[in-house]
Amino acid sequence: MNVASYPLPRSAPLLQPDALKNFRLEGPISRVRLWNGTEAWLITRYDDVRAALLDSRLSESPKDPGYPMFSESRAALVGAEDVFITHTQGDEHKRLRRVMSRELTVKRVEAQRENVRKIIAKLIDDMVEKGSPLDFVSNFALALPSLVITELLGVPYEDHEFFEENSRLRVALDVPADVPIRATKELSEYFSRILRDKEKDPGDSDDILTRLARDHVATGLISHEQAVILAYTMVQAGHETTGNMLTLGTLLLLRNPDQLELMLSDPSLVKTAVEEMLRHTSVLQLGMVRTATEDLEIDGRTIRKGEGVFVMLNSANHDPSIYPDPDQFDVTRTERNHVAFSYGIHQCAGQQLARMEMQEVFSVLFQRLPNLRLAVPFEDLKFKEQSVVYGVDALPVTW
Amino acid sequence: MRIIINREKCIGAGNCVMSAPAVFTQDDDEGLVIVLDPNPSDDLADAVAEAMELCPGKVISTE
Ligand code: HEM
Ligand code: SF4
Repeated sequence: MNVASYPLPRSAPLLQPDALKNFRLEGPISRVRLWNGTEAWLITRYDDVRAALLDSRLSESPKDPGYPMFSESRAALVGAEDVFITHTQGDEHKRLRRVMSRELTVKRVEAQRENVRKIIAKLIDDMVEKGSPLDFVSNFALALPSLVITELLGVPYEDHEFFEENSRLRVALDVPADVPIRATKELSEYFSRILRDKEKDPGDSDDILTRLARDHVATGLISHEQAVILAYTMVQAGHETTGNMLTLGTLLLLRNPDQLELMLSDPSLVKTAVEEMLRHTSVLQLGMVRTATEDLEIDGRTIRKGEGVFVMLNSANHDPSIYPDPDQFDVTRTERNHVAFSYGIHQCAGQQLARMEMQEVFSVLFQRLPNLRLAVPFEDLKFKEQSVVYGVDALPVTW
Repeated sequence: MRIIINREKCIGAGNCVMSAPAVFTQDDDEGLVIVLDPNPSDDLADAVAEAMELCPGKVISTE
């Protein structure tokens, strides 16, 4: 049998790879071949995806033999990296998770809403002042999560290009193997310096790094090294994801003018439109990585101990048994159970922040810039197929 | 309807608070779930069902 090579190609930039349709039909598990010739399983149906993400026999730890890698650069990074929250389990995960969830509660996120509104207004003012055409990604979509997270963490926004560049390089697949490692080292050294200062003298600023130093490192709950990783995790996890969601969401609305009109005619649809953008694009395009630590059976098929598994969020989110006509971008869909933020214990810790930022953007963007449109043919856009997070390199727009 | 939670499994994702803010909130220290209304009235049944469906840690049940 012909084994598909992975990552899977897309036939159109705003659709998921065609092969997933067949995989869901043939299912429940499908074999793919990776860059280094090894093979792994894809889990593609909605119910199987949710079940797999709750299954403790599927381990998220790269230390388990057989853990599959997307690319050479990814393998080098994961091999070199200290404990990253998404790779931890049990009590260790709980400890790290609670340090983060404390900072990202619904209450804390809501307290930021007004501030986010102001940042958005300012970014749009700046765009108008600069004049069109300009790149929506660097001037808006990446700038917003950068401004928000640098404020929350308590680091200078002047350093945003440094964060953006290194966050991008950390998840890029088509770069030499040492590039993601070097990007990670840069981020570590940066946060280590700031945290050391705060550990000596926390001061009384109301920001995440101050609280990390004062409440968690000083009390021995987590080590300095773990605090450093948590700090760059927040920068990393919120950047490419939110930035690319804002860009792809804007692009989906531009490519589906009827849906844009519908959303503009009824402000209550902004919330459902945001969920639909998350479902439709599912930017964590390569799936959640797991290794079987025991033999396990899915619908009569067996995954053997030591075999690698990709749990495909984008495929679950396009399973027609849950979402009728799944490729259709429909801002009136009422299902809210998409897995764009994953599922189980590693489900996104920043999801309420990401939702709030997206809701605020799509409540004003097209009101402020009613003629917003692409400044280049759609066919000229370059999409990020070779990245853990899907997106667009640049989005030249005019209005 | 009585709400039962297994707080040890909570990961503080906040979905329950988004779905049923009258029933759930999160503590300030760890972001974990707190039940505000352990016996919600029937008109909150849909919101509670949504919270159960969206909770990534299968923390919430009812009896
Ligand atoms: C639309 C934007 C976002 C999307 C689509 C997204 C998606 C995801 C997904 C799929 C995971 C699971 C990863 C895995 O298990 O390997 C995850 C984890 C995580 N995300 Fe997000 N995310 C977004 C924004 C954010 C933001 C804004 C933050 C924080 C400021 C954040 C912080 C985290 C953290 C800390 C984790 C690790 C959770 C754990 O392992 O327990 N994310 N995100
Ligand atoms: S949705 Fe579940 S995991 Fe998230 S805060 Fe509520 S109870 Fe905890």
